Amino acid sequence: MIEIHNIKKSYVSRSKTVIALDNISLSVKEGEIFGIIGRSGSGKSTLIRCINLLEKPDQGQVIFNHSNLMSLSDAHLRQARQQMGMIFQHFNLLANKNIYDNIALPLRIKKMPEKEIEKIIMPLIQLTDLEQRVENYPAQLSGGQKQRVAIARALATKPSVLLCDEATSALDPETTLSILQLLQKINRDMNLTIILITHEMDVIKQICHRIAVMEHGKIIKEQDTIEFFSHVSSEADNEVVESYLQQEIPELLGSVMTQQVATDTDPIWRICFQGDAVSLPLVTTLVNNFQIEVNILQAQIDYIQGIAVGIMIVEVAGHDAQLKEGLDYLRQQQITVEVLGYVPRNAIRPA
Amino acid sequence: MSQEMLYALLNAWVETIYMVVVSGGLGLLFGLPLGAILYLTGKSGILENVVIYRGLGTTVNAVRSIPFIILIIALIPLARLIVGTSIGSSAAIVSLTIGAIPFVARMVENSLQEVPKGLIEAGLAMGATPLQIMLQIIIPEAISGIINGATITLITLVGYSAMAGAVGGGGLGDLAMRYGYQRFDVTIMLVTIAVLIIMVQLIQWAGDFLAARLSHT
Ligand SMILES: Nc1ncnc2c1ncn2[C@@H]1O[C@H](COP(=O)(O)OP(=O)(O)O)[C@@H](O)[C@H]1O
Ligand SMILES: [Mg+2]
Repeated sequence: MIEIHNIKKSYVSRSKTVIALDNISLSVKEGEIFGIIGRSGSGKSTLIRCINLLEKPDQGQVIFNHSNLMSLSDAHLRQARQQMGMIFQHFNLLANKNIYDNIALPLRIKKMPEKEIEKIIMPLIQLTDLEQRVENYPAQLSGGQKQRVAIARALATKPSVLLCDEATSALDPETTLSILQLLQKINRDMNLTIILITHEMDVIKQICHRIAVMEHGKIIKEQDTIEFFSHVSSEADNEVVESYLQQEIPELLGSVMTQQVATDTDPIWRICFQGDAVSLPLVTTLVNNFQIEVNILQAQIDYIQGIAVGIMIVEVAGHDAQLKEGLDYLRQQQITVEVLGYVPRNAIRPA
Repeated sequence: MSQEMLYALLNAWVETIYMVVVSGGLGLLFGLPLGAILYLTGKSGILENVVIYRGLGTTVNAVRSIPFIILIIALIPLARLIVGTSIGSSAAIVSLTIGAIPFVARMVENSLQEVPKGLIEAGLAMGATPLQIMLQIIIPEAISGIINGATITLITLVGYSAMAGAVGGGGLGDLAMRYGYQRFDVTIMLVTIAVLIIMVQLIQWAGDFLAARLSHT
C-alpha cells in the first residue's frame, strides 16, 4: 500500500546540515496499524510528512497505491493527497469555522455539492460522538473532542490511509486511550491503514500491529509488536530499543554479572513468553523435571492488545547437562530464552 | 452658529466622508490583493518568490516612508492625469488612495502571517490548491485581523484627509484650519473636532463589533 525506498532528507541551514532522514526504506501493508517510535528529533515527523510529500525527500521513492508520488504533477499529487487523511498533535482546526464546517472543508475543497457533503458528514459526526457539538467552534471543545473533529475531517474524503503525527501527545492519558480506541475501531471497521508516530511506548502497545524504532534518521528496528515486546530478536538491541522495552537489567546484577563462564558461576536467563505460554508452570517444570534451581530476580506480565507477554529474569543453578535440557525444553515451547551473562554463585542470594 | 456656518460644516463633513470612503474602499481593493501577494511570496510562503517579494516590498516601503503632505504634492500630476484636475476632493482621493494601498498591504500581510502554519499544512494535506488555501483557510482565519487593519486604515485616512486642504480638497480638517486657526473661530473649531472624534469612535466601534462577530477564538 505504501512503500518508501531509500529516502534521504537533509536540512541545510547557514552553519550546518542536519540529516533528518538517512536512507530509509519502509513498507506498510494494507489494513495495518504501523507505529513509528523514536526520541524527539529522530526524524519521525519528517518521515511521515514525506509520505504525503508535505516534505519532499532529496532522493528515493514514495509509492502509494502503486503510483510514484514524486513523479506526479501538482494536480495529481493533490488528488493522491485526498486519499490520505492526516491528523496532527495540535489538531490544526479552523478556529473561525464551526465543527460541521471544519469537517466539511476537505469536501468543499473537492468542490462536492452541499447535499452530498451532508450525507457523508453526518455519519462521521456520529462515529466521532460529536452530535451535540455540530454548531460549536473549536475553542469550545476539549482536546479530545478537537482531535475527534480532526479525525472526522481526515476521514471525510474516504482516504485509504490515515497519517497521525503525535496525535495523542497533547492529550491526557485517559483521553489518549479513547482516541486510540477510536483509531482502532476505524482501522477494524473501515479497514483503514494507519501510520502513526509517537514518542510514547504505550501508544504502540495499545494499538500498533507493527513497530519501527527510529534514531538519528534511521530505522534501527522494525518488527511485529508482540514479537518486539517478547524480545524475539536475532541481533542484540541497542540502548534505545532496550529503553523502549523497559528491560533494564536489575540493578543488583549490574555490578556482579560478567560474560565469563567459570566453574563457580550461574547463568542469568531472560525468559520471554507470550499468549498461552503464560499459563505454563515454567518454574515448577524446571525445578521438578530438570532439577534446576531457579531464583527469580524480576518478573512481569504485560498485556499488549489483549495478548499476555511475560518477561522473567532468573538465576539458574544446576549441572550443565540439566541446564541445557531445561533450555531446550523451554525453546521447544516457543519460549525465548536469552543468556544475559553469569554471576558468581551465591553472589546475589539475599543475605 | 449661523445657518451659513452650519451649511459649511455639513458640506465639509460630506467631503470628508466622501474622501475617506472612496480612498478607503480603493485602498482596500488594491491593498488586500497586494498584501496577499506579499504574504504568499514572502519567506517560507506557499509561493515563495524572492524577486517578487523584494520588488513589491521595496515599493511599498518607499511609498510608506514619504510624509503624506509631500505625497499629496508629489502626486498632483498623477491626479490631473486620473481625475482631470489637480485640486478638490477627487484630486485628494488619488493621493489618499496611493497612500492607503501600501498601508493596507502591510496590515494584511501581518494579519495573514498570524494564521498558524499548521493550518496551511492541514490544507496542503487535504489536497487544496494555494488559491483554495488562501480563500478557504487563511483569509477566513485572519478575518478579524484584517478588519482591525481596515479600521485603523479608515481612521488614519480621516486624519490624512485633513491635509487634503493643501490641494483644495476641503473636508473637516480643512474647515477647522481655515476658521479655527486663521480666523480664531473657536466654536467652529471645537464643533469640527467633536465631529471628527465621533466619526473616529464610530469607525472604531463598528470595526471592533465586526471583528468580534467574525472571530471565534
Ligand atoms: N524545517 C526544518 N528545517 C531545519 N531542520 C529541520 C526542519 N524540520 C526538521 N528539522 C530537523 O530534522 C531533525 C528531525 O526532525 P523531526 O522529523 O521533526 O523529528 P521528530 O518528529 O522525531 O521529533 C531534527 O534534528 C530537526 O531539528
Ligand atoms: Mg515530531
